[in-house]
Amino acid sequence: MCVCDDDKDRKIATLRKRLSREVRAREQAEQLLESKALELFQVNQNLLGSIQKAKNRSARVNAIMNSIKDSVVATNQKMEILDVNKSCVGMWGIPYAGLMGRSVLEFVENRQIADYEALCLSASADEQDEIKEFNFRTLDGGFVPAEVKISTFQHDDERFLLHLIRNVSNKKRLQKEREAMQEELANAAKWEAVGQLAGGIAHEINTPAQYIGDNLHFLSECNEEILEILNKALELKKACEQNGQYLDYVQEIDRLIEAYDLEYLCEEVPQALKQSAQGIAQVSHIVRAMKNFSHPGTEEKKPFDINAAIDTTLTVSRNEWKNIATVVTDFDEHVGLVPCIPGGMNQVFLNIIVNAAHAIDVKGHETMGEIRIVTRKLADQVEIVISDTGCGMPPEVVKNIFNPFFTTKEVGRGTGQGLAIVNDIIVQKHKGTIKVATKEGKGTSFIIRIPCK
Amino acid sequence: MKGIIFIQFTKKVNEVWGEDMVEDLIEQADLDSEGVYTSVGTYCFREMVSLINVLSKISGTSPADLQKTFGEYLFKQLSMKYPLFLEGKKDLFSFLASLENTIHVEVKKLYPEAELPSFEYVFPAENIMEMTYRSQRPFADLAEGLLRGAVAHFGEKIELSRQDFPVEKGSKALFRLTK
Ligand code: HEM
Ligand SMILES: Nc1ncnc2c1ncn2[C@@H]1O[C@H](COP(=O)(O)OP(=O)(O)OP(=O)(O)O)[C@@H](O)[C@H]1O
Ligand SMILES: [Mg+2]
Repeated sequence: MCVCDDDKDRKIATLRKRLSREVRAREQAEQLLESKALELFQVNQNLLGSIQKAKNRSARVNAIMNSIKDSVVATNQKMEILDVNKSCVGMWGIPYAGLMGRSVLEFVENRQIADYEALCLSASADEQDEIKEFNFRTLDGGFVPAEVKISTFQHDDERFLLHLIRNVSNKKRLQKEREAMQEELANAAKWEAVGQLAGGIAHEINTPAQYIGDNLHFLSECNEEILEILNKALELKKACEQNGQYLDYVQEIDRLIEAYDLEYLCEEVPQALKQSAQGIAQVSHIVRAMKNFSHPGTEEKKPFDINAAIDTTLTVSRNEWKNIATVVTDFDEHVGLVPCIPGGMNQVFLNIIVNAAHAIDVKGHETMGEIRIVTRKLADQVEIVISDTGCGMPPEVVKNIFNPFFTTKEVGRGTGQGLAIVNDIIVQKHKGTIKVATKEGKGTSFIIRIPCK
Repeated sequence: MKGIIFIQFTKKVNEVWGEDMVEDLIEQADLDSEGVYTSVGTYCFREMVSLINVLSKISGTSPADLQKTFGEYLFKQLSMKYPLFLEGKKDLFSFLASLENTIHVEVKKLYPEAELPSFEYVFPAENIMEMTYRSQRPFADLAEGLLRGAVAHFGEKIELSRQDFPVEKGSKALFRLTK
């Protein structure tokens, strides 16, 4: 064996060692690769799970945000909108994408912008949370009143503002309605007191009015008898004069006849008595109407004379219509007695008649208007039609007239309760119906039907 | 210690002393891994210490000098393997300043088992940078070599001085670089 063989053997041995190292290194590397691949797979799996969870969570957070009835707006400190919930999109009437990047202040009423900024500043300074009211612009150019509460939060080293905006227009409307209702109740109480007082006075007046009426009747009868006697006496005087007897008496009587103007007396005294009787009859009528009206008391139905009740109401409300309208009534005598709540029905007639008078007044009255009231007995109902020649109503008014608090009248003249009460009494309490026919500029008819049994 | 360092080391030994030296080293160093290295594997850093000590005995060069020479070579290799860490670095100081908070951080992300030293930086003057190397392992000389490699790479005229501190475990040294 030569040296070069030795050398060769050594080289081969070295190469073998190196080869076996390389093979083992490769195996090691493959093992590493596989375990890394497995690790990677698991990490990836976890990651997918986390992503799904995060997605679910963010979907849930979104759903929560969108279920909030108040508007929620997230802005940066420059007030630029970064996110809003559904309610906000609804309130401002601008789609989500259209809101991004715009300033919240664009939506605040101009004169309140400084206050809004101040509120944001105090929220940023973490001062105690305040709720303030602002008007927010809407797409149609109007404003909605809203309560605003602002908080701040930190995310990724930046500070953000969360604006919680609660639309309070509903709350305000309810508040207004409550106030009107209270006013109405106060009014009703006042009227009740007045009614009771009037009832008492009516009773006091009724008795003397009764005997004044009786006495006047008696006096007219007496007067006729006295006149009869007087006529006979005058015939006697004439006979004396012709026969030249008792001439000084005759002369004295003639002087008195002249002085007191007997002819005038004979004509005027019966006239005066008649007028007084009529006057006191009217007083009695009004007094009786007041009594009827001031005793609405029971909520129970009683046999009720609708024709008479309308008469009474016309008397009581005369002052409302006498200068602007004539009233024509056309009553069906077969109407008879109908089961009604007396106070309720009186109120129905009064409200409709007063509305009619107002409508005629609104239209203007160079010529007198007319309120026509017709009653009719139908098969098993009674129909009452109250028409006026007033201003009539446009469709958008008609559809609202039975809503409580709907009124077109200025403050103080109407509270919008009248027809709501009418509707309640006719439909709920009497199981009847009420319809309205109207023509703008021409007039209005209310057609009421009440069951007879 | 990552396999890439061992592979670079045996490559350098192969280049300078030939393949027989590599075999002798592996035989004499009594290594757990038996010299089987893959660049992504992880091995005990003591194998590196043994390899250097055996090489020193055979070659007669001090372990410190061997670490330094290898460090210079290693930097060249690393900079070729990971060029992105040098991208955008205009000068030596800004490159070195990114070591602790960027480069070694990225290395750790890539290889969670990597055992890296820590560096603290002080800039006493505009033209002076002080780097304090701290490690659980005895590689301050390797650090010096890597530093010299970096200086060579940027081609700047730098004066490098070093002060060692005695520590219970590993090593600690302050490198002062003056422009
Ligand atoms: C492109 C630049 C660099 C890269 C990619 C890099 C990467 C690495 C890697 C992969 C390791 C092995 C970690 C392990 O064994 O577990 C390491 C260790 C080390 N690096 Fe760097 N390095 C770079 C630059 C530097 C520089 C400029 C220095 C000079 C101070 C340095 C000092 C060290 C030292 C001393 C170690 C040994 C571990 C120890 O001392 O505990 N490196 N580096
Ligand atoms: N006869 C009518 N002619 C024209 N408009 C009418 C007539 N009756 C009612 N209205 C309209 O319907 C609205 C509602 O009437 P309603 O009686 O409910 O309230 P009001 O008269 O305004 O107030 P209130 O009766 O409470 O004092 C009125 O404001 C008016 O615009
Ligand atoms: Mg009314």
